Amino acid sequence: MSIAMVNSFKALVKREYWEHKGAMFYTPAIMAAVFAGLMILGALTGDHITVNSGHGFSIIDHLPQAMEQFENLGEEERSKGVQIGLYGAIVLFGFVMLIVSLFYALGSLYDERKDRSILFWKSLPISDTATVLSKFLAVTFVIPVFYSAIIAAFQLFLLLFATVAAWFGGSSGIAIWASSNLFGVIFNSFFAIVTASLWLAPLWAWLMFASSWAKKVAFLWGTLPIFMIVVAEGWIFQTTRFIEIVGDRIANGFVILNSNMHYMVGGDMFEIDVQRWYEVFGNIEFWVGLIVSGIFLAGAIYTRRYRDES
Amino acid sequence: MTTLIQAKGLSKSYGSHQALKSVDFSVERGRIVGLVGPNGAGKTTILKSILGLTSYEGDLKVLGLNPERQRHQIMQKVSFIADVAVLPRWLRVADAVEFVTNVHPNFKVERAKHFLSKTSIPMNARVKELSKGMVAQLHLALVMSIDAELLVLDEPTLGLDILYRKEFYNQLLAEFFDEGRSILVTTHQIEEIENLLTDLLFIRDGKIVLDATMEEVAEKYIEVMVSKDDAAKAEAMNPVMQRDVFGRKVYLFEGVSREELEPLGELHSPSVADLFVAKMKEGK
Amino acid sequence: MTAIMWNDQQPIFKQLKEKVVELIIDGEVSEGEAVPSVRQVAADYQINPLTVSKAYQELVDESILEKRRGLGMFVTESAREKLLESEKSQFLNVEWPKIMKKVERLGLSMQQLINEKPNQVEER
Repeated sequence: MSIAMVNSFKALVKREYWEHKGAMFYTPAIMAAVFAGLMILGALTGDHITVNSGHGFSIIDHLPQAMEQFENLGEEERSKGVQIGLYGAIVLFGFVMLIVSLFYALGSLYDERKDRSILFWKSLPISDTATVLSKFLAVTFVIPVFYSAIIAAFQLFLLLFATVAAWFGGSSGIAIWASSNLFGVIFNSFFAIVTASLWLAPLWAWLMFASSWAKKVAFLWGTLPIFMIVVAEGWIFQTTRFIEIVGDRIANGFVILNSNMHYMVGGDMFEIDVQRWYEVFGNIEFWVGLIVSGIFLAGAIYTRRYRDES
Repeated sequence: MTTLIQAKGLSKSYGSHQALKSVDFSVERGRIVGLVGPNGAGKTTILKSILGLTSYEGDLKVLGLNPERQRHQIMQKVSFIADVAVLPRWLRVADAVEFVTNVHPNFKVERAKHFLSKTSIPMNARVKELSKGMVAQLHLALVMSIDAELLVLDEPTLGLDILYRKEFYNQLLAEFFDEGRSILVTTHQIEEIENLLTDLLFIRDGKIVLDATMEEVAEKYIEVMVSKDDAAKAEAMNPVMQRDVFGRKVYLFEGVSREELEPLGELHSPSVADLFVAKMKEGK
Repeated sequence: MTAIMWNDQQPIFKQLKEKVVELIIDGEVSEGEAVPSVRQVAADYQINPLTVSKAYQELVDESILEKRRGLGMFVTESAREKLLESEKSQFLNVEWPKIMKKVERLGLSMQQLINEKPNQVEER
């Protein structure tokens, strides 16, 4: 790849950011700001604030009691407690990220046809391959990176919030920081998020492919073929293999996102087999997923290149 | 290479409808070619074929390359504006300039900034904040800064008010066009560009009905304003068209010499618009 | 930008040529001075540069303009004289006789013509 091609590709990815700043950055940032604000407000007005982290870990305003209880816990228990609280942030932000990625993929090759801006892009020497790949990179990597950064910032806020709460409870709060494993949490969070997104790559690639030929309402075109295959399979083979595969994959994506939390709470969060993010790369299904993604992307590239816009 | 576009037997069908019926034409370097025809005649299909945006049958070479298979190479040296409203609304002006700089090997960013500085377009504005005329100025500034050998314009001034339209062509002539480049333009506003053209192509129902340089047109097509007494004489010479102006008859002749027509009355060159109407009505 | 109505009886390059000649005779462009570039004229009048080139080329052939490499087109030293001479002879040999014929046809006398001041509105 020449320097020119690399620059060109970088420009394409940057373009995705310019176009989707709202979904990629402002959405999670505002969410974080709102939650933080609510937490502070609630603490100041003395209301009960509950931070749900899948297992009912509540911050009540019986602070001195809570702090004493906390400090009486063993080292390991304390550490788990804090980390569960931090990983809890991923549950909601991660879910929002998946929704955002879904809509991003659905609009990726559709919006430019709808507003006719494709005629501007096509007047420049950028290949359809580079265009499609830049959008794929945006959804599998750029969006996760942005969300990870905001989540990390929010996790930091949670620690600070807890520390300040500890002060009011008469404790120095150092115990909270010491048992937080903050860098480990941020590290694991980031990789869980990116891995989950890559695990769901075939879903994103399929939606991108659908967006490349949908005439109107890309959402319908994205879901209808799946629906049709499910019905056909049920009618011809009387089996439900397809929907099971698709459902499994999507569910697993959400699971991988929260895998850190799952193991932190002793493996109780999900009832299925949960892969840790690094185990995903040893799973043959993951690589098959990438190959399937490649096929859908090739289809999207071909369609974008040869589709006749009238 | 002096022939920038060469089409032989170019055809295109959409289902049962034949948009182009074995069309032949060429565009030489250093020319401004006007492609004129009614809606649905095949103008857009020709442009799309040249730009590799649609499939076609027949032989078509752009800068010696094949638009279906070598589109990427062609787009390094060919620019187009497909009507004004295609810049994405969310794009910031400064970002647009940055993007084209990084993506187009033949883009001269200083030129673009120079053109933009002569307008009132703020670099930080998004396209959606600009008026239609300013969007056209922005698009043109970008296009003129690309060192293209061929510029294709499809109704480039559609919906623009007169000030922007005049400025559009003014800029093209002053800053972009030279003997090394060619421009292929379609427009409904023929009067606006007829003096800019070096060549004229009329298309009707998928066929080329006129393909000539402006000089050839001036020699071949002559209008005569005739008094009532000479009307019969004029009609005997097989005019291509006739119209009434202030009670006198005006006849349009094709291929008849000036000497033969002089005795009939005042000779004029027909406007391209009148010529166009005549050619469209021919054979009907 | 100048809006020009070109007439449809003469090719545009000829009309443009006449305009340039007018400018020289009226002294708007002096001998030795540069005329506007092809590009500028084309842009200003919204006509094809080749048309402008053709007009300029004919003037070069008639020694009214000269090309100086890298600098542009300039009015030649004796251009004004030459033009005045040819305009004079054109007037005397072609236009004046036409006017005289018309004067005769209308039955006017030379005395009447001399008494008529220009721009006077006719009262009848």
